[in-house]
Amino acid sequence: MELTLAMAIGMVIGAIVLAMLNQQIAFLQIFRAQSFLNEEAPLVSTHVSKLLMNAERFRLHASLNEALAGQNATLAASPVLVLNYRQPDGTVRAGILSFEAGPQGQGLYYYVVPDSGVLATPEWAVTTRPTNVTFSVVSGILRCRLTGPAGEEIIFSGAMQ
Amino acid sequence: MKMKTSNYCNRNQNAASRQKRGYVSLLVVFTIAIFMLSMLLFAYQRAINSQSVQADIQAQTDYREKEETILRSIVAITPNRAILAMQDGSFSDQNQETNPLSFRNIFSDALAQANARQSISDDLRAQLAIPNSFSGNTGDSALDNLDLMFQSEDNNDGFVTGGLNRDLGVAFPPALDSNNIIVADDLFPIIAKAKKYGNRANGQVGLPTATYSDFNVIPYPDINFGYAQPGQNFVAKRNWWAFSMNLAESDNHLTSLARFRRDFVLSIYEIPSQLPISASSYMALGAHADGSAWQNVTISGNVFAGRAVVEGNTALPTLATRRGATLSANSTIGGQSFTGNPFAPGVRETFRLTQGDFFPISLASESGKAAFISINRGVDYFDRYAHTAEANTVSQTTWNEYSVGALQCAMRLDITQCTSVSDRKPTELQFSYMRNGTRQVLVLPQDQGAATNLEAGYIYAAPEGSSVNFDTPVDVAYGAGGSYFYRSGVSGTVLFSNDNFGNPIVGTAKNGYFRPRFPFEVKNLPNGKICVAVYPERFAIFMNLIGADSLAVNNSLAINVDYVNSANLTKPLIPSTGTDYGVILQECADLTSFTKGFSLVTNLRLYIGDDFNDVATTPPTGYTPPNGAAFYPPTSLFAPEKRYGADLDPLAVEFSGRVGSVASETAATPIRPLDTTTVSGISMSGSQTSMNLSTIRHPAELPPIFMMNWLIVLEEKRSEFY
Repeated sequence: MELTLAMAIGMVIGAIVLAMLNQQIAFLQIFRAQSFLNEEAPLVSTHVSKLLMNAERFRLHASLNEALAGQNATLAASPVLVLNYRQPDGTVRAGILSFEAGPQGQGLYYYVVPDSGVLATPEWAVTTRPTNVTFSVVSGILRCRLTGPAGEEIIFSGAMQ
Repeated sequence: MKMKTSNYCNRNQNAASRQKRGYVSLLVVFTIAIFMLSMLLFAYQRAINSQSVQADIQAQTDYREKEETILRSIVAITPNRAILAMQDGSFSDQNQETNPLSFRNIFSDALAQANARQSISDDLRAQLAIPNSFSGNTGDSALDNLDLMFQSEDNNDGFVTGGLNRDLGVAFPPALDSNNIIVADDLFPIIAKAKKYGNRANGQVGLPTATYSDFNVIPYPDINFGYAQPGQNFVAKRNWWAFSMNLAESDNHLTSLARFRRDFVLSIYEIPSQLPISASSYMALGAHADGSAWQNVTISGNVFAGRAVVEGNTALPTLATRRGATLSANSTIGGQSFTGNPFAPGVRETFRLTQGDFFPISLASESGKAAFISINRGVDYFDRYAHTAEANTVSQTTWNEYSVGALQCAMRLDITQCTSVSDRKPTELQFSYMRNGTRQVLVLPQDQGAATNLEAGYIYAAPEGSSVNFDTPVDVAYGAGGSYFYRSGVSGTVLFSNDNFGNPIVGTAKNGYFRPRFPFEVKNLPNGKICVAVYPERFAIFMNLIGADSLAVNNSLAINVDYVNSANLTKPLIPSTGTDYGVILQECADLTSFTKGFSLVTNLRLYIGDDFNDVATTPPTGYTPPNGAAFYPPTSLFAPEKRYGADLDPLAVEFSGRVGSVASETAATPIRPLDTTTVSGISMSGSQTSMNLSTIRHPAELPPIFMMNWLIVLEEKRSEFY
């Protein structure tokens, strides 16, 4: 009787422990899956917001080539964002945010357009974790939509100066 | 005993057995506990990491947002302080820590205005009746170390580095020069005429600075407000100050947050009014007061208004306003019809994609870190006597001197006496002018000359025994004490002596006098209104006769009434009444003798009685008018009311140039800038007028006197483009 009771209690405890373990693992899996929103997206937001807020003008394009050629600018969701920066002496430089298959894989890359206008390697990879990044202009507000590895989405909005 | 022993042994065995099972249980419990604790710690660590990332991001975002708001506050505060720095007594406190006009205090006030220190002020708490509440905003900070947050670019004593007499290198604008070293420019926002384009800017601005030092041709900044198009050359002078900012620096000991210093250039562009229609006024565009549409109107360039209502089928090239515009359904701006609100979000962006980069209608408030101020003193602009002297100013240029057209004129003609309060006939005029850089005053009694019983109009020439050479015929007189000998139409060298004239009064020292052909006189309109008639074509000879500086210096005339020093004279009313004086402009077709142009400013009603400035002249060296157009001396006429004709109503008026106004932009009723009125007070119809309005594109086209605007822009100087 005592043994039976002990075994039963042991089995209940074991089952609870297993359930808790399972729950913990599930929780960690969810946590890991959502870490893009918690940890990566805010950093991306910081960088992208900084780039946007410093720009005097921006344009959206479907590809890097069109961006460099200044052709087919659009307001619709696009993977390439051209940012113009004017210095106080009147000189203008441009930067490009592009979601593409770059040196570190699919990711959001930033280029500084050189005076020659010919792009080399990206200045840096802003993030390689999202599965998709698009820019669009809605009611004059620039929106950046990031789709995470688990399909989660986050949208940043901003305006030029 | 055995049993006992046996029992004892069994108990020992059972005890040993229980001890072994206990170890296992302990181990299992301990293992599970460690495992769960590890899981818990791991999750906790992840949460801590996530919270830490969020906290850093939040702090960065908070500082960035604060910086943006502070920068906008700096743009709003600085021009007002620059104006105050030109006003009386502004330099009585020369300490930048206590003088509110210093950059140090501009930055400090910007922190307060942006609520950067305290998100909810004590005043606001009191208004909300929650004085004992506490703020949960962890971003509140004392931000009390201005020296760390704001720094000059060259470690001077101030908080900024002025773009004056020094080059700061690549990416900074061309610096201004000043022969009068303005040390305070690093401490205060100084706008002064002494700041000019010199050798440092030569080659970096559009025109040679040796010729065009006051204003030059520079590119318009990249802002949405469309006084000009971004990058387009316009006529202006750019004052600027550079500084760096890192708001987090003051809290670094608390946050250890890594933030880069950001470099900024704060500019105040001085922009002479140069648009076809430009006024910080409430304006109705497109129709006359009688409701008829504009006819024969050509506008080449942008239009600026304080506030505007565009009527009928009007087509304007562009429209920039400070307080917005109301557009009729059929009007177009830049060829674009705006059925809805042109300032609605997204309209500009869509237009840029489909129509071009320059959006033709804009508001000053649409540009983030930019502000546009039209220097508009209202009717005081016309009146020298409405102002008191200013002294001890931070800027070497006082505010009145800078912003009042009548005070800027080289020549001044005042009605200083009249017969009585009821009889307004002027009995004395006073004319002042520049000679060798010094102001000279000529008192002209209207009932007699410069001496007792000398005929009116005669002015002093020389003492007895002296010779004076007159290039052009004048009347001369010789004598004293009411006894004079006269000769008319004399030119060449005249010896004022008894041998030459005879002796009009024996035993008394005598003087020589002459009466030139005056370029002004008291004259009545046909309706009896008392006026001062001005004849600009006569000035060249007259000024030469009285030994004045050339008309390149004496190029502007202010006509006022001295109601301050005369008991019989009163301040002219606007609109002019029947007892107020007027000004008649005649003999004014050929102004080529005014080699730097001609301006007239008066607070009296102006009657333009003849063709005005329709004789072309040779343009200045280095300037070719666009499209092979003829060059006319640049001129400006400033008066509260203008009427066309002096003796008769004209049949038609042709006008070329620019139109402005000093009316308020908050007035209830809009002004109509192209309405014209004849001498008899009849409004001319649109078919009787022809208006060709164009933009000034070169400083050689600037008249001596013009209205001024300020464009304040704050730009970041980037060491990297991200």
